[in-house]
Amino acid sequence: MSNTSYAWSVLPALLRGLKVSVEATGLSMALALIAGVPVCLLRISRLRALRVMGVAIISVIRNTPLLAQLYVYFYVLPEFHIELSPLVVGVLGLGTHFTAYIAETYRAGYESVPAGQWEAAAALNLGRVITLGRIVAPQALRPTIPVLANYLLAMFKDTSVLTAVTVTELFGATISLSNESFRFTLLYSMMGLLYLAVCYPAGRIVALLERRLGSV
Amino acid sequence: MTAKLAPETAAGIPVEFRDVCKRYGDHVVLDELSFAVSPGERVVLIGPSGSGKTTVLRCMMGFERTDSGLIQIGDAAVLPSGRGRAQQRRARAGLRAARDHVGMVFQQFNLFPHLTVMQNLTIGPRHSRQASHAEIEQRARSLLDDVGLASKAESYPGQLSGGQQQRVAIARALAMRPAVMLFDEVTSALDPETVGEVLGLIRRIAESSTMTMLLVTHEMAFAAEVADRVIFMEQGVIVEQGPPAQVFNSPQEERTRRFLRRLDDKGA
Amino acid sequence: MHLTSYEIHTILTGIGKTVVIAVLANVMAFPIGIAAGMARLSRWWIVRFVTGVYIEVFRGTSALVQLFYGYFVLPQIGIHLGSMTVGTVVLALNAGAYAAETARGAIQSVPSGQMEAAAALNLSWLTTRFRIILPQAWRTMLPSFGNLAIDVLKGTSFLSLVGVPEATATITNMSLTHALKPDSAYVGLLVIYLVLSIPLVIVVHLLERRAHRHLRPVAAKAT
Repeated sequence: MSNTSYAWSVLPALLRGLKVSVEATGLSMALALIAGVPVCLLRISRLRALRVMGVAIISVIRNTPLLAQLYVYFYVLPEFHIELSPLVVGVLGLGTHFTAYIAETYRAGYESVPAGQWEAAAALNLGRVITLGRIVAPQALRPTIPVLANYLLAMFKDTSVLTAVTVTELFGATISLSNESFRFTLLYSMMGLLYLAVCYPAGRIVALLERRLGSV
Repeated sequence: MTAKLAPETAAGIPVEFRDVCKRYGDHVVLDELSFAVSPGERVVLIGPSGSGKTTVLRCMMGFERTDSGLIQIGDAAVLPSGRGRAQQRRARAGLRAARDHVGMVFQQFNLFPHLTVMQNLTIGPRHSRQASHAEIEQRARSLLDDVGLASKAESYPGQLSGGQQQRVAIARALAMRPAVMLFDEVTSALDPETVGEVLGLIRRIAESSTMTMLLVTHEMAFAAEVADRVIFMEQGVIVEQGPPAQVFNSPQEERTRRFLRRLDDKGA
Repeated sequence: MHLTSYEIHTILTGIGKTVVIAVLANVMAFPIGIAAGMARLSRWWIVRFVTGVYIEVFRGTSALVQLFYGYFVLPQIGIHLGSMTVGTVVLALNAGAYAAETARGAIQSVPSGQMEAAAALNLSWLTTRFRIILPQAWRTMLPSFGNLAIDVLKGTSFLSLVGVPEATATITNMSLTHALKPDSAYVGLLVIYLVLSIPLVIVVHLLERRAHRHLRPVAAKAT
């Protein structure tokens, strides 16, 4: 089969893989955005013990490879009789990995709000919770958006690691196809182009967001 | 400190602007500006912000490229930005020659923060290979002594006050033995208490050297003391020029009078 | 955990490989990054463009994908390098692309007055870049470079998937051959990387202190 006709024939499989990549990214990002909040709260807590816990969690996750963390979920959980599908394991691993980074981003945003805001709120007797929710968080959020967008992009690229726990996203699909047909160059180039097709425009959008909204 | 400054500063050379034009889009910054400065003359440029006086200095150093016209500094010519490889090469050579003759002191000092004071003073002469290491170092130390900061030789700029930093910046410029010195609002960023020490240093430099000096400043009293000629600029043209007594006490032009009146109102 | 001395030796060799790859890749990545960052600011369009393509390609795909590309595609065009070499170079190029953007931003953050002061002193292009601008930009680059160094360390784990016997591959094998139980193996793997990251963090911290030494305040005094 010529290269061109082969390329067309495998395109659907690759696109299916791309769909899985996108799904995994979305689910993981949702997990990370939500889980980032409690971890951030730990990190900025006034209680030293909680702060230490927060730092420990974040440090462990940020200083160890995503691959190793995925293996932990994939191989260790069954030992405790928790059987999860590869996609769930993947989302769990990817999501918790980025939770650490996003928690730090939330913290940076939080610390970027000037002390004067807290003082003014205190002078108006608003209370810590209200101040955090109505005064500080809205201001902290704006510059964090480009950073979060950046992480979304990084997460999408990292879905390729999910291949190691048998998730058939774009990278995994490419590998199994090339193991059958040995057309490495063609398949890998197609995969690379598909990744770039998503990442390059997304990168430009992130850069635009950075310019418009500033950065922490 | 009335000691004479290290006398080995170069003799002044002439400076001439001939029909120099510069615009930013629609905004004309310099409008066919022409004037000549004799060797060793002290010229002070005054005028409202946006008048182009700082641009005059920056064009001499090539920080802004002129659109047309010629700036002659001694035997070096600063040419406008042009097309064509040969013209650009000539322009670059002219700029290098000009920078050999001219020293500049900036409003924001622009000392190199990661180098000590001594390193700031010696890095320029070292790389233009003016003299041996020993001579360069000795000259730097004597300049530092002249500006009263000998004890700060190994300090970093971040450890000095604004006035001290500016004095180091002046010494750094002098270390290059310029024939022309440019002072771009060098006291505008200083606390009022330290303005005097920097102005005093500039006065001593004026008294003990024969360099051509161009100063942009808002310190009118100082300008009256030091200047041989005062040039008042507005919107890119020279409105009036002459000896300080004339320009400050009996200005010929209405615009000059208006500018001086505004300064008086602000209590400058 | 009953490990034979042979197995312990294998694990240590694997960790050693991880360290070697990480160090080599980092040592290559930072000069590449600084050079590419400066190239992005070159006055020649072609230099900016080519560097830009390099940066976009290596930042737009994951290191794992680049690794497989290098491992499978290079032999097809006749370049046969060992998997460890390919892995190290890919990691270096990948980190270099990120470092380039950091370097570019840091260089641009140096106040323009510094370039002007250097020009006023007629310092050459080379001297201005290397003695005035880069030392100041370096201070800004360090924290990001520190993070990148750790990312490179983490990236070495991908080499396990192309058959390089580094730490992750070694531990995974131990678990598959039941020499280790899964929880000890993989949690142990995390511990290994944590421990390896400590010297990196210390080195970066020391470098940051050194880079800030000229900013440390002296006992305050008036003029």
